[in-house]
Amino acid sequence: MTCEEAVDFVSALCDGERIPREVAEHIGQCGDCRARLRDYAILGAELRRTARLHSPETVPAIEGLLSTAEKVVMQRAKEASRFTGWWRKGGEVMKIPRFVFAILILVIIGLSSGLE
Amino acid sequence: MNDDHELAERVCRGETRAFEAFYRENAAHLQGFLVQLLGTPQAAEDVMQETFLQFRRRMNGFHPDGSLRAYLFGIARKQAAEWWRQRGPNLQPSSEDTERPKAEAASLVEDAFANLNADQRSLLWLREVEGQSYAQLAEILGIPVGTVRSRLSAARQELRNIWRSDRVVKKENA
Repeated sequence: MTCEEAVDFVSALCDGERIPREVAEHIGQCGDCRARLRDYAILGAELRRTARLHSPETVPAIEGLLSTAEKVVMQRAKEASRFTGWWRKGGEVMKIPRFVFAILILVIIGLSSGLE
Repeated sequence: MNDDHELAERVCRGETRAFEAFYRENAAHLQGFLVQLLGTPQAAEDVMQETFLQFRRRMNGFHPDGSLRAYLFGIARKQAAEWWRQRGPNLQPSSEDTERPKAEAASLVEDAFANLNADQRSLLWLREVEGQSYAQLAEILGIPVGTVRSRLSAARQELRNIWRSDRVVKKENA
């Protein structure tokens, strides 16, 4: 086994890929191949560090990608979730049992229709 | 059914929220990758948006056994190639004509990386930064896994050679 034969496997090993045993034994015993493996690891780590430094701070809002019809659907969904949120919150803070609240509503409707 | 397949079906059904979630998760990563291919943040942003539009329109082209991210990055690569093609044969991606700011390079590695050709930059970026597997890289690039292995090895050798020679020059100038 020569370093030239092992070179592609050094890269594969760096990526955690499985390599033949005889190649692994060569890399373990060869200073040049071990240095290459170490350098690949350093270069990879440095690239990831660079990527974090240059990562775009903002990306365009998705609304720009959606059609007008989709925007209308989204707006309706937001409004619907606002209403259901209000209804849920009202239910959570209610101090009287719900069936009492329902009876009260019916009484109010009955009284108001009786007044007419 | 895997998560990607389920998400693909939801996007196919026109579920805006599924598409939105996928966009939020991947847009910045895709833009970072496209900067490597195109050289400028503005071009990367334009092509990124076009890529997501194409992705949504072409959901039926997604293979259920594949990865949705790999499918997205594969479309991005083709869109980037189309972007270069529209600029004519004299303007093809290379280390010289992309506008990576060499003067602003924060490190020798960044400088060496900027000197690789566009194919090598994109391959190493997808592997080292985006963590794509060999199978996913094969899907994105449309090449066999064995070719992914040899191309990655060649790109790393090239990067290491430039990096080491730059270090020698820097030491001599110091």
